[in-house]
Amino acid sequence: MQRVAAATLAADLGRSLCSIPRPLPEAVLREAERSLLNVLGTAIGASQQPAVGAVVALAVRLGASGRCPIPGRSERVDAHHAALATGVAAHLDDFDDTHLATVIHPAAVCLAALLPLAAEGGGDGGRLLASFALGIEAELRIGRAMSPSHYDEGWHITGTVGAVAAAASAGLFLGLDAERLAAAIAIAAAHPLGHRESFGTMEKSFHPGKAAAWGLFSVRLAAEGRPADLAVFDGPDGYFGLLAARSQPATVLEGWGKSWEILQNTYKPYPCGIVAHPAIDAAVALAARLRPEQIGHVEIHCNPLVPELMGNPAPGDGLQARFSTIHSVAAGLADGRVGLQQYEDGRVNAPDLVRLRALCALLPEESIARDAASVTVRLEDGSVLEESVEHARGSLERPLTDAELLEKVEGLVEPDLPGRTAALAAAVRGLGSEDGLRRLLEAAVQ
Amino acid sequence: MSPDVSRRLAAHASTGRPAEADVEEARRQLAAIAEALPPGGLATERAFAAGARTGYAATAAAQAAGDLTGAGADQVAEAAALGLEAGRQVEAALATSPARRPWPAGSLGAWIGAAVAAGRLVQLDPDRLLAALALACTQAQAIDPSGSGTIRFGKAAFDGVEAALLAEAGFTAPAAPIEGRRGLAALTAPGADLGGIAAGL
Repeated sequence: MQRVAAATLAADLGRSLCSIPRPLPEAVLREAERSLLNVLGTAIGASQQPAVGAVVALAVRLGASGRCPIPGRSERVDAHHAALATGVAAHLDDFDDTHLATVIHPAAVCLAALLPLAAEGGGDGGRLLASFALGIEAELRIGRAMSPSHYDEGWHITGTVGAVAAAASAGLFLGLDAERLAAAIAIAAAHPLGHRESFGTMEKSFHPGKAAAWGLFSVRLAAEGRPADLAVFDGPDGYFGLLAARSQPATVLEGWGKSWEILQNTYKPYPCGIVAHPAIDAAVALAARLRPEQIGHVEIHCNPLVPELMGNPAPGDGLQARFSTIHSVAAGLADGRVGLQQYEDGRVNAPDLVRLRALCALLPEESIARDAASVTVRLEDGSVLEESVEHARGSLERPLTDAELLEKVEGLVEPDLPGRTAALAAAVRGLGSEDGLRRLLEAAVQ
Repeated sequence: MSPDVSRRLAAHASTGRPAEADVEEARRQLAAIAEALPPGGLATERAFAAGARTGYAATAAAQAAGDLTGAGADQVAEAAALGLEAGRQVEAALATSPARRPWPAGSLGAWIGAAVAAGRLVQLDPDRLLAALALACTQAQAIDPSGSGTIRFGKAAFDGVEAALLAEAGFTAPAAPIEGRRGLAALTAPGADLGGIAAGL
């Protein structure tokens, strides 16, 4: 095992993660609880989807039996496939969390890496929560150091940074020392994954799942003494040099332990790309003032990132529709709400929404902020209705309250685990208790 | 612009025949793989071990997938050869980029080759093999400032087998993973001439 060299980011990150004072600040732990509850909800909510079923089928095909659970399901598989399935599920509905400055959806990889380890034993709930929080923190700081260049170039940052987060979370939970944690992080970082070409297919959700699984694998390799190149982040041939035309690696550990990126995490009120959320807010508000059959034309005034990231005007299925602002607005106008039902394949292809989508147009304007939008509806009688949103619901300025978050999670959990929402929420809040981890695992699986 | 290179590559991998020279090279590599392949364990992990030890990602994936599916030696050699061919073509094409970032030699094509080899042995049809190719493409990055790492070949082999089996199970993926606007070429080797991929196949 090589000595930790002082001049590498991997070594510094390993040391910083291991040496941060415990307990973590109260605000950080509370936000970690919110994030954990939210992502458990999204994982359970998508647990029966074909993409997750495909991962389970993969495990069966390989003979990958084990004792690791997948939230919302009854099967038990090995840690790799549990991580893969959990990460896929947590991100599949595009309903998880968002760090707006980087567009990272950070919690999926950390949950997916930690839950299998929790099932295999050896840690406690308090350590799980702290490891979850610190993995997210490392993830967001690395992502911030290469934003917006990295995502703009076409990388899916949730995947490319995810393995580092997973290795950090897993390594901390297992109690790796700074040297081995640095090695695990370096091995994980050496294999980033995630192209935005994936959007609109199951492969998008594969990214956090595989990042989590690779993070676990990296921890295993490091623990076995596999040599790691601790210079992986550094220089023009390193992580930042290869993955972003512009980056500021020196900022990763700035203010470490004093300022916290996890406190900037937000939770989606709608299961689709976040840049559409302000327009959805406007559409839902307008729905109360009109009947869909009255609509003649819809103008969606939005930030230019909207057509860039979510410009599909005619999606063919639910996964594609999650990257269609036009579909999301049409659904909001037609149904007065935008939830998972509005992205089911049948609803996406329903004649009324096909008609309504054709009446919608995206009108991007540089002056409109990312979390703002306005929707103008011209009715067939000539009248005009308009709704403007300055800050989308779920944004940092209008975060979901604890009650709203619980309501969201309830909607996700109850269909597959009826009656379990209260136990899940209590288990998350009670992770610091003696049997906290056991209660969490019991609440989250069939 | 080289439309449909991914689809053409997948179609050839699914139903085509490799060049005899590649089959001979595959057999040579398979002999080395035989020494490096652990006797037990999951197919993906066996592929990792053999790939990391030998540097032969496509061949390791082929042997591990072949053992999983019960394929004969000739089938494994043919699949490995297709993988070598695909990986080589993709590497050569991406190398034409005037703006290619310094990814380690042999890294980008390793994942393509492994997915092609494994996908052939899992008997994926062209559409499913395209999905396997896409799942491999999105992972086809390795960072190795010291130039001494071998994990990437093991990981490529692992990922190729896994991609093939996920595609078999119906996992969906993009249709233009190599040439797409946000695909492998755009992200790792912008401006590359992709015309050589699947050419003459």
